[in-house]
Amino acid sequence: MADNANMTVEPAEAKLESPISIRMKLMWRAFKENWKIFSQSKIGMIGLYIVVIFAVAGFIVYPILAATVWKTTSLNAMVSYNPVTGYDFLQNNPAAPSWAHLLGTDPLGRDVLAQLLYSTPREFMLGIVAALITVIIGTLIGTVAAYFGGALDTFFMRLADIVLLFPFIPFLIVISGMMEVDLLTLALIIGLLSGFGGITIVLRSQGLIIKSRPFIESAKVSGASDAYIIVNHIIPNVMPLSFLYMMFNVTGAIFSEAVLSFFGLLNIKMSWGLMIYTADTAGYIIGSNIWNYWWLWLPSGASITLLCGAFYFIGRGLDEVVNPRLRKR
Amino acid sequence: MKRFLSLVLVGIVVVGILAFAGGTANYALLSDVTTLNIWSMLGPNATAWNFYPALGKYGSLYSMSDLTYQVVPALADGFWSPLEKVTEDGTTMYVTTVKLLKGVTWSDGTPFTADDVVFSYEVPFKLQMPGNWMSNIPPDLFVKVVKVDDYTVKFYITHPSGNFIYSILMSVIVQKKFWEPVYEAALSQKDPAQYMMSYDNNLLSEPSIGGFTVSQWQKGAYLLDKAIPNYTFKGQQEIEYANGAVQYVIPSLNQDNTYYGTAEGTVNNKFVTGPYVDSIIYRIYQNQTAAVSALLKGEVDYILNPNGLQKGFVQQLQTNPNVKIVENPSLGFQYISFNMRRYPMSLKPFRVAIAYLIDRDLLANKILGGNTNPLSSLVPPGNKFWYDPDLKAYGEGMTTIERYQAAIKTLKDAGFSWLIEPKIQNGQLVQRGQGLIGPDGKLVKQITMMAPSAGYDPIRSTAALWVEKWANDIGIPLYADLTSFNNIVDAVFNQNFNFDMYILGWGITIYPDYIYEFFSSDQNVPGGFNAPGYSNPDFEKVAKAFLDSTDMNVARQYAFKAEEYLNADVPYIVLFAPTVIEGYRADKISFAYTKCLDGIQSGYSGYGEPTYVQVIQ
Amino acid sequence: MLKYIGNRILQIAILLVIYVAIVFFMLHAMPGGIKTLLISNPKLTPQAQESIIRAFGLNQPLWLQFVDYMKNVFTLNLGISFSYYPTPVWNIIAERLPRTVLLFTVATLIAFFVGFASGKSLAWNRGKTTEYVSTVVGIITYTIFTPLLIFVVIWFFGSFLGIFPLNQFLNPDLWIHTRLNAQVIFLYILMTMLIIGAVMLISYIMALRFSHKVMTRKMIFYLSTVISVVFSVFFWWVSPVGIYAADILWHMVLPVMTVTIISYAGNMLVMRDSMLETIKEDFITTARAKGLPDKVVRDKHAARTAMLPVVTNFVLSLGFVVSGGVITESLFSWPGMGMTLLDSTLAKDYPLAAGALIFTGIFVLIAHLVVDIVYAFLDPRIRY
Repeated sequence: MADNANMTVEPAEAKLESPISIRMKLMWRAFKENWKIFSQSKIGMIGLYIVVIFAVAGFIVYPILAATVWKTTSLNAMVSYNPVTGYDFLQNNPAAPSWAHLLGTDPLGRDVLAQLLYSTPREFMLGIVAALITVIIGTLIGTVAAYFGGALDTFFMRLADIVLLFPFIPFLIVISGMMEVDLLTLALIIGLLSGFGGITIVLRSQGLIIKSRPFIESAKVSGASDAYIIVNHIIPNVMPLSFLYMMFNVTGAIFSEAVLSFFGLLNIKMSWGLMIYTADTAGYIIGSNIWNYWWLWLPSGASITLLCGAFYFIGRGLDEVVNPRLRKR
Repeated sequence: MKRFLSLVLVGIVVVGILAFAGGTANYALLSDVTTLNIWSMLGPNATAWNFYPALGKYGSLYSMSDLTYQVVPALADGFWSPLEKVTEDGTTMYVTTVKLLKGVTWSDGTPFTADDVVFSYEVPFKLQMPGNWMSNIPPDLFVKVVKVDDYTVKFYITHPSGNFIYSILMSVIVQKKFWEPVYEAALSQKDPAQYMMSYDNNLLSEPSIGGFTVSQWQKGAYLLDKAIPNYTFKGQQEIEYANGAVQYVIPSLNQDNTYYGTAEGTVNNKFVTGPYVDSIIYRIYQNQTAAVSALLKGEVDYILNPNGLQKGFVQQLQTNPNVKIVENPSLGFQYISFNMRRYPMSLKPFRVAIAYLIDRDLLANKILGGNTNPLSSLVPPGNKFWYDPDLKAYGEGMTTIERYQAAIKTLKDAGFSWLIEPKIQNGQLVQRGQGLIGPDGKLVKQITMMAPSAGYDPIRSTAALWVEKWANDIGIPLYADLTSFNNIVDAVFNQNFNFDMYILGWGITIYPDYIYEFFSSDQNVPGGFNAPGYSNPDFEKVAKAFLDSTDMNVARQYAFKAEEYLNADVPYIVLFAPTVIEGYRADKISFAYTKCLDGIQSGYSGYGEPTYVQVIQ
Repeated sequence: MLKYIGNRILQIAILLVIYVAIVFFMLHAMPGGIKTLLISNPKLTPQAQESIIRAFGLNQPLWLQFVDYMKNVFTLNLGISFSYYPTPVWNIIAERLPRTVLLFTVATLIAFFVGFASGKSLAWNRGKTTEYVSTVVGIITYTIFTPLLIFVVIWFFGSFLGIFPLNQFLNPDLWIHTRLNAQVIFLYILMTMLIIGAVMLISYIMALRFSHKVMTRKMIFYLSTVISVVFSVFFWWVSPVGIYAADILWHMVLPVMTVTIISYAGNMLVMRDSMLETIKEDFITTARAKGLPDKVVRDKHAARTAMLPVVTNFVLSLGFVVSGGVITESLFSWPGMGMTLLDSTLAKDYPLAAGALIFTGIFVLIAHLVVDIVYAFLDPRIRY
């Protein structure tokens, strides 16, 4: 059976001497091939579309709106669209959606759509930063542990055991109760906590598999240093799996932040979870209020669900790229 | 004769009401009770939830009348004798005699005597029990209490003070018979106070001197309070007259006493003490949404919550015609504090300028949508006796532009200048100020004002952002740092007043001894209450005179003077007095009164009026 | 085998020590603390504050506090709670633990079986529309923001249908007539479940020993399970306390349903993936080629092997039973471990928060140990 999963295999000698451009060309080819497989996965594509829509809304649409339509013109304006310090003196807040406020206002008079869009890039950054940290740590440790084995291996695997111990959300809750946790800190904490954990184990097993491949042996024989082999051979072959896990980590990070904000534990000015918290503590999520004031919780709740789901979908789609056994025959 | 007949009539009516009374009231708590042990409850475990079902079991020598908050005897017989100076073993003390009511019994039939009183003061004092015990029986005031006979005691204190009345004389009385064995056992322990506070063996059978006793506690689920059939004060009438007099008629003890005037003229209020219900179930919910849902469904009749209901809940409750909503001013205030130890907060014109800028009415009524009330004095208007209606805050009644102008003028007159001066033309701010320069000619560095974050308290965080905006508009480099409550408290009280300005709030008492506490020089120590670092000998003199007066009319005059100093010097800028909004099922229960300071849930209303509440049959 | 178990226990003890150390230092390195709690009451004189600081032992050097703490954890003396002073932390945890364990064990078991069954059929029906729709539904319920789901569930069953109780775990009107302690009832229910589980395990082993025929084995197993369940129900029915247990179970319906909806998809997807992997294996092709009916191939061959990772997943998720899905507990007013963790954090009750956290850790560690042992039993390739 042809090993058509690994597209970056080429003669070891050629790799040792080839310049960057050939490397680039090969990566591009691999990317195109993987894209073809990925685009066949309906779930993955849906996820990608959703992520793109959110990204555009948060990084492009919001700044434009904030600078044009929503800019405060005078110091004594009766309406301000600032998502954190905004207000609306003309209405009885929280007000239902209208042309002035497409998604209505929250109990303090702030425009809900502005809040939604303002939080979007922040959620993105949180998820991606956290996931990146996780993946970087996990990849480095996993590959190093796999390559060198021995005491180093045992140590990191035991460490991963401890980290797996940490019940994630409760740990985050207790931490946030004890120190000021803002978005960046949260991303760091989530990244660190996850980075030393399960992902290390998975990547190490993958690393072990790669290590046993013949081209590694020949690279060693040709005189390549350990660092070179790890960086140029093992890590690139582990990367697809890393990238896959990154998607799941983004989901986890955004979800964790939403949960913590929902309990009012974080020290951030605005996020989707905080919008729901505001609505809940002000008493708009009870009885008939739930449907009469749907704009206070539905947009933010749906955004959390959609964005988390989207990254998860992308992960599932990538699953088939990375793990050929899952592909349809 | 006429009076006798009317008393008989009232008595018949009372008996009639009580005869038809009965039923169970259901109250909601938003958190579980943590202990039923009275020593712990008034010690480190002092939470509102503990008080609600259990504090009614105990009594005190004196308490406050309903709605008029006048000091009246409760377990005592009449007022205390005037303080006399005595010297014992070289120490000067003041002594007063208090007579006790005869015939009062605990729920197990034991009579209430001076033994209970002496025990209830000496034990916490000797064991130095922390928390409310130590503030109720302050070691720098209380010396000892001595039994003269079964119904007379003598109190010895170090100096005359209003706190003698409001703290010591109102401290909790427990039954000696029940607690003495525990006390004896505690004395042989390494940490007697801890032993007594952890005692947990048969607290449900602890006798009560109040209208109810806690008869069941299903942890995490509910508590059951049962009415005491032989409650001594059952049927007691409290009659409040328009001339300020308060009359108490206690049929079971044949007592009829009037205080603060004569029992004649128009009657403002009349309350007859029950209990009118057989039992009260305190159901425990973990969040407001659950409790309000239960109220809507009729599972509970009333929600006990020191913070009151939020707007959304109120709106939902209003859809149910059976729910009645009551709004009352809360006993507390939210404020900005300056750190007068730092520049430029040390300069009075700077503080006054900021005071001018803050438009409380606009904030409370427009921006915050009426969710809170503007307040500029340290004593809320609901505390009628101690409230000074003549105090006017800086900028009261001014428009935003007038405020800008007043602030700019104040700064200018004090020698401040700007890199770019703020300009007002035709009633508009046409040029924002930039770069404030102090009278010393140097640029004023950024001033940080810590305030609670939006997630913790949207009201204060919004206020902070607006103060920042107004200050920035005229060039004052103010920055609002929205952070966690803990951080603020830590910076102010743990890090030796490491702040420029901050916004927080205080829950207060009717007797405003905090006027002294918050601004006195002996509290101007690390961890003390004098956060601004206010030091004014004139104020100090007047405030101390206020505290040391045992005649409340005299005390009030001093208190007003003290407030005048504070109002002028503004170490605090008081912002808001929150309202307490409560809801109850008017089709299921009724209360004796619903308009009261701090709401029906307040300790001043008996924590939910358990002895007044009636179930509607 | 015994040596392996002993080895693992030792390792786990070491891990626990490190875990506790991390938690402890985290507690004391944070800004704010018990002192802030005290300050917010203006009635507290500095002497009163001193007294409390003395009572809580906050003036000892840090390392001394640490050593004491470590010693105490291993004797289950997790300190004294700040907000429930002077109740020991362990008492509070012991009171809350059964509630969470009952709720989430039941929920996890149901979620497991639902996920297992649906994952099984899902993988088998790869490519058909039903698979697609089920996967999507599963993913939606898996990723939906939990509070959102709970809001809708509460509204639907509370305001709209009005059938199940929305909060609390018992009905006071029923319980005020008895002196029973709810915790005791919880423990009895848990004990009943444990007994049934033990019966199932024993009958399984006996069945293996007793006969080689699959039919007989199955009969013994199912028969004994059914008998024990019927017997327990009957026992509760006639007992005077039965109605109280029923009240608790009645209040458990909504939370259990919610947790099941949220988590079944996890099991389903893992099962599906695992099955998909197994399906590609050669022995499945052979079985199909042999002409065996689909259902047999699916259940007897594919599912059995695919079950290994699912079992792992299941036992691991049991560890998170204790952390209790804080969200579910807080929104349903179910005062268990999750609620305790959240409340103690918000109240800055560090001993209690740390105790709850440590306890969760202990539970997960034990789950780990069980996984390793069960895995060793299940997978004949692993022999220590």
